[in-house]
Amino acid sequence: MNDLEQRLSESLVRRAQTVLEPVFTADDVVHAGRSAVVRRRVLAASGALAAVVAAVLLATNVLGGDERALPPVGPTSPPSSVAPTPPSAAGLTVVGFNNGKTVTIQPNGTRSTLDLPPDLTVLDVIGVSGGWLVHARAAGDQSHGLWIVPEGADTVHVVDLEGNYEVSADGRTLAAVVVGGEVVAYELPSLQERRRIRRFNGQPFVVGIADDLVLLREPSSDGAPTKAAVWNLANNLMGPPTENNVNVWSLGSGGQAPVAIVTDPATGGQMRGCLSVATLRPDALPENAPGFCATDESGILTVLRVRRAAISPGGDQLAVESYDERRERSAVQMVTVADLNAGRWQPRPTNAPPDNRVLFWDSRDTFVTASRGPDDFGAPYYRCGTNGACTPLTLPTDLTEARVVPVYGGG
Amino acid sequence: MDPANEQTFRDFVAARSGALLRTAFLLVGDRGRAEDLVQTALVKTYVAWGRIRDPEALEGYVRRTLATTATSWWRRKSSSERPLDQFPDVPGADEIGARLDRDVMWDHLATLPAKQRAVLVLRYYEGLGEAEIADTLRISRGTVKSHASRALAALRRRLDGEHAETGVRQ
Repeated sequence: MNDLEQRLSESLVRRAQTVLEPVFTADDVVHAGRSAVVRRRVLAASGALAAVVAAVLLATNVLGGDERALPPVGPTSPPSSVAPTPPSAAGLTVVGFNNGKTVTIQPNGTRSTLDLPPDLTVLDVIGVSGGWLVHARAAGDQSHGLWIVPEGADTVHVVDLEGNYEVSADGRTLAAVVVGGEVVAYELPSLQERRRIRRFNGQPFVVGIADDLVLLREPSSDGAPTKAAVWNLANNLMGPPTENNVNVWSLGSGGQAPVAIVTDPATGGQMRGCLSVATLRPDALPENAPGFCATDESGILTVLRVRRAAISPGGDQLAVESYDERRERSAVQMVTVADLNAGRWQPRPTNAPPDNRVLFWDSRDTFVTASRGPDDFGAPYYRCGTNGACTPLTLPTDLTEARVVPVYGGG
Repeated sequence: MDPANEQTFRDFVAARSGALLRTAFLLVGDRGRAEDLVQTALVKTYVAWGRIRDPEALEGYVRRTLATTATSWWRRKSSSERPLDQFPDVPGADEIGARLDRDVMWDHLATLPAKQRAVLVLRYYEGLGEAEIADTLRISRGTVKSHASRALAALRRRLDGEHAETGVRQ
């Protein structure tokens, strides 16, 4: 081994020494593995079903290939095409960088420069009641933290993070998974700590906050369902975890949460998939809310395909990311909660580009999507209406890494 | 998977996930992504359990999945969660971290293409030979050689450039 190779080897060993044990456990992996096996089983069954259907249709000279026999997840008849002249991001709040400063542009065009310590690397910004909540990393520091920039007052470091954080729709409550694994709830903008609770079943993930209720669940790096629980800030009690592993992605201001549950026949009973919108109880996430439920392969596959569902502020619409594993592509669809409550799955297509992510609802009738994750600055953004029409947003060109950000409670 | 096999799998995860995480970290350079990568590789292994007849081959299978996933998966990373780029450092690692800030080798390693980086990690951290690396990454031995050669040349060039620049400043 020559000098370079020796130095390389030493560097790798030193770096590896900084990493100890993973956060996940063997139980997490086994659980995710079981979910993956269920998915495969359903997909295999669906593929066989599709092949039979295709064969029949081919015999009657109706269909050219088995792929078309599969229920599509993408738009079948997209609404009006993308506007020829892209509108600006008017009506939305934009954050970006100018000469190393973090600049916010409010819907009325007002620009402000956030007064942040110079050594911070800003990762995300959210408008909250009375100011801005900034997620950032300090120079040379591997930890992440939250800072708040109040209007007319000095910037304050809130807390260092170990997990994620969410803000309530009224912008008055922040819940964050802090170093040590506790979840802490703060009042905004005062930053007064309201409650603090220990982790449940491993590191929690904050799904959302509605009034005094915080919906938490176990984390899932691959989208596999996990247990969820409700933390009531009024009495600081954590309700019991859900009986089933669930996928729950968002929480409306009225406490409504879109929930997907697929029961595994390995644990007894028939395989069944349900997608519903449940309203939180003070101590639990209901698992039997009325919704679209299926025991056939196609129906279960429909439930499994939902990667994310964001509920509108009014609680009457869902913006759904539905993933087609065969095509490795997702599509944004609209689903009316009333349809779901009545047991119907009647998604409406949008013309958001394939693989767009639903980021947040910016009004009762419109939501924002982007082609990549919300942590990717500079992604092309779209604003979609409940009619499925999405228009690209033009962001200010004088800001680098500009992004559209949510504002909760009038930032 | 039957209960006995599942217990074997659990034992393997409990015993080896730390080591796998360290390798994953070197492959992707980010603690959070490394966690995701290891979990993904282990889940794939769970699903493929029926095809892995020899328990002795388990480690090799996971390592292969880890490496091939690291070099192909990150471009289409999808998660329903708002990811955090990095996890907080481990207790007591601050001191090490300060020293590592001066580790330009690590910085340059991060700029290499994923497969070149994977070859170097498997060779100089895992201590694998050319044939094992070829098997792990599902590439030919010739490709392993060329990746290693190009990666080392790039590192040498960048380190030499840095020395020259430092010399000028001094």
